[in-house]
Amino acid sequence: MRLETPSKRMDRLFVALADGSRRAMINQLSAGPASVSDLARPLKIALPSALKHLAVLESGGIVRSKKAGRIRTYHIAPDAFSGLEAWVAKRKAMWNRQFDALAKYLEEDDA
Amino acid sequence: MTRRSAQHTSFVLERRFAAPPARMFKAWADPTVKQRWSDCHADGGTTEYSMDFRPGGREVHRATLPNGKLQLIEKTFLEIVPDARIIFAYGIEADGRALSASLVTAEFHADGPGTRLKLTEQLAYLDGHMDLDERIRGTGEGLDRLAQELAAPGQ
Repeated sequence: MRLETPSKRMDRLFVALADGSRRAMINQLSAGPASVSDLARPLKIALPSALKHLAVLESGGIVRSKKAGRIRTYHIAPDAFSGLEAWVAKRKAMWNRQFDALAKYLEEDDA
Repeated sequence: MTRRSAQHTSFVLERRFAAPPARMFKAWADPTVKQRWSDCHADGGTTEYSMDFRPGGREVHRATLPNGKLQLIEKTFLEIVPDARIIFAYGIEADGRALSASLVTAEFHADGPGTRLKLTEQLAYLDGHMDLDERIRGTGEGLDRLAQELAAPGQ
């Protein structure tokens, strides 16, 4: 069981996900493990910057890596995205979407 | 196969609306008005919808989701204070499996000519049902929404 509080984990996720390249890497890794060059290529970034992003994701507990011979492969940490947090994010998104529609309805009805 | 678990959490959403509490309340209480803004008819897959807005009354929404799953959202109104507060419990099921159970308190506070809505949802998330793809997508949706909100006022 995890001892970290949900909000701490959420903070960590937000930092890790606050960057487009890192989100793209997560998308790619959710399809399966990949090497640094596999991950750098579609983003057209140099290996050192790819490594920097991966270090953020790894220290955030979102990806893990292992080395086989000379090649290091990255994969999504199995517990990276807690189901509870994602579910809450979905419920919040659902409410906010409805509130947008409600605000729009109230404005239109006013006119 | 399924490990039984119930994880609990709560969240609060606050938002200001230009309309006064009485109009806000009507938007929640009147089924025809509610359909204009609630998700119930947004996705198109609705197969059944009904709302009985009174304490003890229920709101039922069945839909076929884009992924083919049958979703049931069933709500029971617990307390209704006109123009001020609505408390309801609701559960979400997919293909007959309970995903979460929630208690929601919606409070309408007069705020100048408008309303400050405070929505508190306390929920039990059941049996860790989401797969990794869904979790990533769910978190992403929340973040996209947050980003939009943060970007909106200044632009």
